[in-house]
Amino acid sequence: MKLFFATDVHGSEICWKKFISAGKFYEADVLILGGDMTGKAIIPIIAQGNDKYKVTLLEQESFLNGKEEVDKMAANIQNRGYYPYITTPDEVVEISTTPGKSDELFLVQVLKTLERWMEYADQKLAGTGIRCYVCPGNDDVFEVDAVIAASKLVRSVEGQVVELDEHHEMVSSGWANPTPWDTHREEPDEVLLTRLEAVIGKAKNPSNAVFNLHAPPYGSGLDEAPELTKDLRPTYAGRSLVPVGSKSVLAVLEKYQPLLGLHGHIHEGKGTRKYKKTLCINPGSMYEQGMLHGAIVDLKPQKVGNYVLTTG
Amino acid sequence: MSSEVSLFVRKASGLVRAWSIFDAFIYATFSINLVTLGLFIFSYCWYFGGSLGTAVVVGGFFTIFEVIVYASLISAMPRAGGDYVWQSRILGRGVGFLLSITGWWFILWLWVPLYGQILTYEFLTPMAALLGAPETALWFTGTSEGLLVGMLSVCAIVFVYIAVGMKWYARVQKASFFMGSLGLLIVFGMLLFGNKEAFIAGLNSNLPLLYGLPEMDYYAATIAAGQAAGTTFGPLGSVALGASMAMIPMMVFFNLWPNWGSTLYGEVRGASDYKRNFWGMASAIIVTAGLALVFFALINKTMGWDFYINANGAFWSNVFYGTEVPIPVWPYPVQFATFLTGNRALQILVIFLVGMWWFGWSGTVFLSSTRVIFAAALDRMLPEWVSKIQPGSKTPVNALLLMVLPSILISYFYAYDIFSFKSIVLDATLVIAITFFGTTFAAILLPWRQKEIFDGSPISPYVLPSWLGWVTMALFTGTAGYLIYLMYTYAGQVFALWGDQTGLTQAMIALVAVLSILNVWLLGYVVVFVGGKVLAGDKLPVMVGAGLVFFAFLDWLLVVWFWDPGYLYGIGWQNSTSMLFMILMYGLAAAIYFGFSAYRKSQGIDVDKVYKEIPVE
Repeated sequence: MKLFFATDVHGSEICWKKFISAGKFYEADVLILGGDMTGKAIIPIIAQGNDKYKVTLLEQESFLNGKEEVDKMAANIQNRGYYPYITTPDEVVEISTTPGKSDELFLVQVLKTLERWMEYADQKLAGTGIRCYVCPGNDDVFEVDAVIAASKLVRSVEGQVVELDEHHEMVSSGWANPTPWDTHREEPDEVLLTRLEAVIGKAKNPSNAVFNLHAPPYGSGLDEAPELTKDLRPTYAGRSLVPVGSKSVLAVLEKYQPLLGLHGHIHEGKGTRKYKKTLCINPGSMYEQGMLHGAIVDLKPQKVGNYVLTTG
Repeated sequence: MSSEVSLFVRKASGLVRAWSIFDAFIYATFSINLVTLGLFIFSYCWYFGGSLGTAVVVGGFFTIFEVIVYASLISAMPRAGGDYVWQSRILGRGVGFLLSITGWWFILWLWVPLYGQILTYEFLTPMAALLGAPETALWFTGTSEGLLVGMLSVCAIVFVYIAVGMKWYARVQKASFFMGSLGLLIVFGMLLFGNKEAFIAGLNSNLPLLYGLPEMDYYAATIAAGQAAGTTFGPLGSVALGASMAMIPMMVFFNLWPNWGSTLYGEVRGASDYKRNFWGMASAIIVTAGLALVFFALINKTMGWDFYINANGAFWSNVFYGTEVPIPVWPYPVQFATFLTGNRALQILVIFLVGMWWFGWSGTVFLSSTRVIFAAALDRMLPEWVSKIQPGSKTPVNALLLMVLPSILISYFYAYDIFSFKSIVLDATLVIAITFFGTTFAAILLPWRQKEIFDGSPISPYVLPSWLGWVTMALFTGTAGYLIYLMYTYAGQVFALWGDQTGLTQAMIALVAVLSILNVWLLGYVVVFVGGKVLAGDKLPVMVGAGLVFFAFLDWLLVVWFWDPGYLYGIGWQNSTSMLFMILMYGLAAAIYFGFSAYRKSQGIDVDKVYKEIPVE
């Protein structure tokens, strides 16, 4: 059985479309998205009157004339993983000055985008026989679960064990150890360990399973991120890399020794690491550039066959 | 006021603030290291008629275009990991592999003996002498065994850096920067407040004391030995642009590497990060070039420019041709400056502090290589075991061995000058320049070959005005014509000597001729491709404009290195060791590429799809 794994698309429209198309392109039987589907920023496209708009993307201010230019910019923003929002100067003031208003707007944008993505997946995967599993990550609000659950062909697998084929189960969790950003699905490692043990406990044969755990194991090299100062600046111009992975993920990998560990979370941590018989993969992420990092893994009945990391 | 708000962010991981330009400057300054690379290659420039100052400035000017190219690529594809992925994505997997494996891995085997030689000359020898061991000091510099020990020390030191990881290496570098800068400041102070009479007296008294040499007038004897060796140089203050241009292919040994310290990690959020990367690298070039000019001026004032260049000529002439040399150690200007004081403790302190420029820099030799080895292993173009991390030391032992073992062999050849390995110093620059050449070519094509990536990047708004695009393209076309003419002229001169050459040398000439034909095609392709876009009304992105300048500059370097009719650089067709060494490296890379591609295909892995974009309906 061949699976394709990608992660951390963070709202990038083009990356989601590539992910759904990857099944055919790489001839995979199963698509697995590791988590963090939602974007981090909303870019207001601000009406200036007379069908003119102003937008600032990547610190570059642009003026747009008419719908065609607005649509092009919106697509550009979406492909980069941000949410375009056509608005007025007054509404921008309201959003930026009213507590909770931007959170409300984010939720609307996240859910609207995800609904569109599910429709796209249902349409493209219909009749292909390709199965698609997603597991929301620490950056995803809890409301996304219901949207995914409403899809016909995309299955949300948070906290579940699913059978990939007659030999392999997949254990999934998008929860992570604490980050400096206090995100939605994070908790101290000791609590996370209890959560992971509970999910793994549902598996019939964990040692022949795939552990789809968003956080990479601590100290694996798949978890190296730029060291940050207290005010969240990369130290030493981003050259000092430190391990930020999960000790509980490391503990369950060492305890159960599954065939395969699929991880994400740390975009810079692209790589593989072997723990005894367990192959751990973090394909990394370049969602802002619309490039889909992924991993194709061929699962044999009792072992991992071939694998390769891709930049699609 | 309302329009001031241009984006809303939510709580999400990875949202970091900007890094410090000063930190980026520190790491770029280490990569174009004035004390190690600079002083070493300046000492080689003893047989050029031009001005070192002019060469440093002109070389630095062209390197600014390199900085624009790399800062742009980092902004467009920030987490790609550098040349390997940029080239693979834009030019194809084969080109990316061939150029990056050779430029970021294999050629570093040759850098190890160079790092070792510099360690020996700048630290081990003077420190041993200062600590009262003159025989050991002379053994380090004057014997093959001594040099080899320096080279093996590099492997050991860098092994430690890899083991402690980037977190601690970044700290070591930063501390080394401040200590090294203090040391350099003291040296500048000594030279500024010293005078020639005091220097001559100090030289003549310290050399016998430190190295156990007989008492004599070393100042006059060194100038005489340099002159006898045929040392040639222009006055420091002269521009001598034409003659100084001949030194540029030497100078890039020192200043081609600001991108080595570039920050490839983290999210690039906008134009400010592009400028941050640019200024981190560009300021390193500007400041380093400025410091070099100050150093030259101070050497000229206190030691005398003729002494400095003649000392270099006498030393290297002794190494390569066995001519007489009064001072049997490398003429290290820093140690010479310490002769202005009789205080041993201060002399030791200065050599130690300035030595930090070496210790902070030395980790660069393997860190990038291990990254490329890992990237190739992830692409399944190397066996899985090469990226294995040893659990205890958390060190990629196998990747390190792939670096260290060949390096030891090359170091042995170099230290004992087997196959004239000491003559191929500039190969270390040439092979990496070819890698940069490939990356610059990729950068020129990127806005059209990877349009969506470029359009969605913070650099897309940076375009040249139409008129400047036309001027740039016209200048590039003219330069391409000149380069083709240059190759034709050089080929004419070299082929006139065809009958006098051995079969092996004739084969090398034929190879250079084939490469030149390939180069003509490449130049023509760029002219037609980019020229076509300009004619079609496209405005040239700044990255492309800078890319055209840097591409032409690198092309010129390659032409003069390979044809080298005056035998100034010694790594072209005349030097079979140099040519065969490079052929072997590229041949090995090609063998790995084709061998592993076939092997993986036989395993059912379609490696051709690794970098192919997934089509979206």
